Amino acid sequence: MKIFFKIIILFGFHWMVSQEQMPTLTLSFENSNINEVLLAIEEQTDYRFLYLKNWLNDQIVSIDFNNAAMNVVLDTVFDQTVLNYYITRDRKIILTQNRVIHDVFPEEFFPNDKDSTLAGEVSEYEERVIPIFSSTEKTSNGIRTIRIGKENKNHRGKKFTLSGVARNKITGEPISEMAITTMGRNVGTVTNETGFYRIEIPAGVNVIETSALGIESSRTRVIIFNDGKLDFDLGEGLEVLDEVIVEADATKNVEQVAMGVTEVEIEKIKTIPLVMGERDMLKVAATMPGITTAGEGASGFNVRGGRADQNLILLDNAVIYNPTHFFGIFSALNPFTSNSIDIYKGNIPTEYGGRLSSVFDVKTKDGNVQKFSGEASLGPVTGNLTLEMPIVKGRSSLLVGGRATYSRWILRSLKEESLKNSKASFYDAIAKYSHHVNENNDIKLTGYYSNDAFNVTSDSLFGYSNRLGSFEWSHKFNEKHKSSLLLANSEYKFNIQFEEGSPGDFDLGYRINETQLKLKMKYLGGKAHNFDYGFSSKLYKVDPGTITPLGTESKVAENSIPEERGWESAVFVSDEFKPSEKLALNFGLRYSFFAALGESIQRVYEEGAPKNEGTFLEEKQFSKNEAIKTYDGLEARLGVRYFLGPDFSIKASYNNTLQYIHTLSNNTTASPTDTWKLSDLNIRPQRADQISVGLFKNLDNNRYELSLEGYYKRLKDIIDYKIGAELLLNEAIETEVLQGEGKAYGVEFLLKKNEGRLNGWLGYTFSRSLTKFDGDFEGERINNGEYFPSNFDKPHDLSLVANYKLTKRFSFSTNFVYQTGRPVTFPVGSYVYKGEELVFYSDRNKFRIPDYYRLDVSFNVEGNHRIKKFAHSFWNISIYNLLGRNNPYSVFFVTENGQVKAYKSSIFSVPIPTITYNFKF
Amino acid sequence: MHRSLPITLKRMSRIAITIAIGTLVKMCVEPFEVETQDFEKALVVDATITDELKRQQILLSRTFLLKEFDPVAEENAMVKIIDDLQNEYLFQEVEPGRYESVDVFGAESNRGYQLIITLQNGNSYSSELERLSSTNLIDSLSVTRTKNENDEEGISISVMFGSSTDPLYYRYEYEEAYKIIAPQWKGERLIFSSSGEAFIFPIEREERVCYAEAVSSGIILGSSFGPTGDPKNSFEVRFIDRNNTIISHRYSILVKQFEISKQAYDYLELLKRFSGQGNLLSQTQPGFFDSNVHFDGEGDQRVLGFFDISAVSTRRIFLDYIDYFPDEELPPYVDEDCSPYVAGPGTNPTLSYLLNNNLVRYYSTDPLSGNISVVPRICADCTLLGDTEVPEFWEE
Repeated sequence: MKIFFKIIILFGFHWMVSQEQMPTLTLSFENSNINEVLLAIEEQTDYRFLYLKNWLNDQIVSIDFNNAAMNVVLDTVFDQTVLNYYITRDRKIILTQNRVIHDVFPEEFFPNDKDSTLAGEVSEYEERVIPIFSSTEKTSNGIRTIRIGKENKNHRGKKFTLSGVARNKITGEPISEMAITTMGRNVGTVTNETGFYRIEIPAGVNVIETSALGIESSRTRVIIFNDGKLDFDLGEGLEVLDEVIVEADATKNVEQVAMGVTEVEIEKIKTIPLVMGERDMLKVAATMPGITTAGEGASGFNVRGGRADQNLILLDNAVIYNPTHFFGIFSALNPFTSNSIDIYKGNIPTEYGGRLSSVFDVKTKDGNVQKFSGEASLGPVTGNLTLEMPIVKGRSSLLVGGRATYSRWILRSLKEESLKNSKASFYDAIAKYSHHVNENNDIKLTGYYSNDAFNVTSDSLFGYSNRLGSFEWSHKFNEKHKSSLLLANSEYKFNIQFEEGSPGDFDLGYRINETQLKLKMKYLGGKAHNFDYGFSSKLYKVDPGTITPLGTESKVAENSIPEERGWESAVFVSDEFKPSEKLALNFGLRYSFFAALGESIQRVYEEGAPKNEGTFLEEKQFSKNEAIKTYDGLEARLGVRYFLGPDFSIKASYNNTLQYIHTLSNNTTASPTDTWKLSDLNIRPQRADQISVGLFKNLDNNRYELSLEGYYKRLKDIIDYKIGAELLLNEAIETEVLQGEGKAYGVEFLLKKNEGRLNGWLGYTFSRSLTKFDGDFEGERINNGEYFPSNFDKPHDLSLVANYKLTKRFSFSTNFVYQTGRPVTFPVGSYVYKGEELVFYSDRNKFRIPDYYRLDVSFNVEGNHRIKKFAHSFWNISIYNLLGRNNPYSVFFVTENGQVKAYKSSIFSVPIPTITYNFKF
Repeated sequence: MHRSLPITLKRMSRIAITIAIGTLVKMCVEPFEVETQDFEKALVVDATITDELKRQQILLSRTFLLKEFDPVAEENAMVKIIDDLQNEYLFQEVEPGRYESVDVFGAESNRGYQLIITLQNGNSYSSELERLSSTNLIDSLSVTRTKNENDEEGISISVMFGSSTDPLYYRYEYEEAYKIIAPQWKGERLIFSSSGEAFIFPIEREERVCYAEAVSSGIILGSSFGPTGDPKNSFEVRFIDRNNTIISHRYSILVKQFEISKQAYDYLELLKRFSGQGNLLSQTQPGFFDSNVHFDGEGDQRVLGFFDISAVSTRRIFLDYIDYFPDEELPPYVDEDCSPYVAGPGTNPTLSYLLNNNLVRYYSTDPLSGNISVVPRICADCTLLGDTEVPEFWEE
């Protein structure tokens, strides 16, 4: 991480500042208060000053400029004060007292980067020369001078010991690991854990500089002629640092050990063309190599050839089972409250487990702790409002966000009379409370609920919902040792009601609930080793299905499949180890354990025979909390990175994973009525192994990121179903389930340009995903037990996302996607049987639907940035599917009047324009 | 143990998903031409051996291209059935693709039967050993006037069978026969003399009352449990819309119940499902599924159809329209307008053209004007729709 900072310092930051064109000012003031001058500058420009009023109390200034650059004006204004200023990219001018905000970090800020001895060279970064003759306590540029002892001739060439304690000004806690150096001399030391330091410096004038991560730097002139004591009470580092961290990712591509990591930052995707006005980070994620969806309107993702149930999707550490609205057309993750999404598709960190293919880690923003702010957006389908409110100013805040369909115009505008009565609506709401208790403790609480409801006719209702809550307590024991304790609960359910006053009326429901407790610890063991370790424990409760009669007429028999319970736990440890500057290793191990728990009745079948009624032996009764069956396994997560050049690295990783929970779906694509099933006596956990190798290169000062990754994955005991299996309300699911093998391999290429007028990325993936079901019995083989393409095998996948900024306010964006059509099973012939013409199908997935391609464009208008304006607005005008390509989503066959007819369905077959308005306040 | 979902539920969830999406996102469904890719010729075995003592019958054919109706009979095959006592029952081809047992036999309970087929090209196929399931007879047939799920009124014919604790699976076939009465029958015909004079003669042959027969087509499956697994003792085999002319007067149905194994039921159920309705958005995984008849050699020679041994139970019932729809209008006789109209030398077409081509029947002559009225032949001659011979089983 530290290297990132440095590189940023060298390239990124400077470059960004220089991008800003300094405005020119015409000002004239005679003996005026500086405050007035600053107000005048704010009036003339978009810039805003950040400072405390009392800093400027009696400071008066006289200036006269005509069309002078702003920095020249500011230099003059602050010349006679103790204030320094710093201009940020977002047009804020931060004033600081006594202190210069360095737009470069001092070299020794990162002691580990150097040869570890601080007595090394100290760079000269000070821009203002301090007059040596000063004898006042405060010089004109605010450097404090301390005198120790009195000079006499004997002291010449002698050395004295300076010692003291460094403390945090706000919390009073000692600052450890703070670098203390003397300017221009090769002398330095570091404070110990109690903040104490001791340094020998030559007699006379020394400039002592301090720097520590997260702490403001200081500079003190010490005129020393005796041993003495100097304590530092230092404030915390400026917020500006945050911004540095974001940009610090510039070298992450080549630097981090983990590979197969994709990050989507919400702020960066806002110009991307939208479908019906909904900004969707999951859709953006799917434009990255290795991540695909079955098509528009398909819920679920396929990551590196894995099934849709093999992704762990976390929202603030809690699992979200169905992150989509409207059967997958919209994302259920609120784009305005989300901060970023990290997707691990290769080397999954040891703290995560329980899914084979990937982890989608979605983090919600922390609310603004300073002032009330918000964001609102209006699209054709939904309205969205996000509010951020400080609760305890500077310490805690509440963020709430809500989104709901507000308009039925699409349904109403339909010609079809019968559909005008149908209703489709969805909403989601999120609230996050974050509290910075003190320097060492942070608490975060998140609650989320999403709901979808469809009324097709007045007598039917289909709905599904997600509910989750999570609590996180982060605690810092000391600078080296940190922990976080997480508690999360998630629930997903769906419900189908049918009531038309007939004997067939029913109410059917499904529910899954899980609660997880997790403790993760981080130990920064010095320059070479960093450890992560901890444990997690999870309890699942599944209600696999209940049907009850609805209404008085109903003759439907009540039926309920008994609750399933399972306990999944894991301990994990990993060490990131850097044996040398070039080599970094990450060794992780995770031991996971699963127990299917009673109470339950499990069916026992003959050993080595297909599971069916014929081989059914007995029912076994298990009492409450009795372990029905346990499974466990050791999962290795290994990664290595080696620098081939300063911005060129090669990485390799090995990963194996276990999954104890499976979706039951006999559809070719994921759907909201898919249910989750725990492993039990008859259903084994799924397993996967993956190796990957990649080359990572940054070009042109990190403006371009280039990566090429290859992977090979093997899957075991992946689930499929016998053809025509009945999965809902089936007590003997195991008789319908097949467990087989899979393999997936691919090469992923990504070129990314992060900055500049033209930015975006180009990804191309060649991959295959194959499955094999080769049981010992007739009914347990598919395609003669040979490998065949899985439903989501799309060998070629090309995505281009590009943004072009015309001016600061106007920009164009475009997406282009091309994918090989997914495999399907076609009817290959007809025959006559029992007097009727029937069709028969080919081997599984022998054919493909036509290739998929789509071009979207959007035009974006950013509102004026003037501060005086109440809100900052943003317009997005998008056309989705500009080419009007009729991309088939599925094909199906219907026997009509004895004739077999083929139909294809597509979701968005025409260009779809949308306008969205969005404003921040 | 295994219970299937209520049909309404399956339909509901499918409808919900498809309509909701279709409407909100302007989904587009359009037919397209399938180029039959990689056409495979598979063997189709239609073999049901019953417990009736008779010449058992097996049909062999080949699959054909999707859009062509061209079943090809599988000729010159050697077909036999072997029971678990190694008794062989040989079959011979009586017409292309239709094989009949040389001897009369019926399946016996507690006996296993295997079908062996050797084709002309030498490929041989054999079935698994199948047994007769228990025999549960039809108790009676019940007829009710009711409405179907599309809210159309008509007559429902259901099989009543004895209740059983174990789930039982049935396949049904039926033969129906009905009486046809030509509504505009007069029993007279018009003959012109060479001078152009019209004479009226009685028609000698029967043209007023006929009988027609039809057999069911397709697979009708029933079971002894309801949608949620509750036991059931009836199953609707046939629903006849009240506007269907076949129930106009007297109607008879012979229901044939084949009791089949669960395997056979599941197989046939799948056949039906994959040939039937489509699902717009979330497509049920289709595919090829194995029957109980397999190719004996190496490689991939597919077989369609199921070899099953069934206990057969039959029942016949007669019903009269007026018993269910007293004093109500009869169903329309035919789609054509049966009202008499005037035809003569000046009409187009001319009367003589209509008579010479046997397109009309004489109806009446206006005593004043001498105008001759005729009706379309079908309205006065039932032989176009049926047979005048009374079926053997017919009871009045």
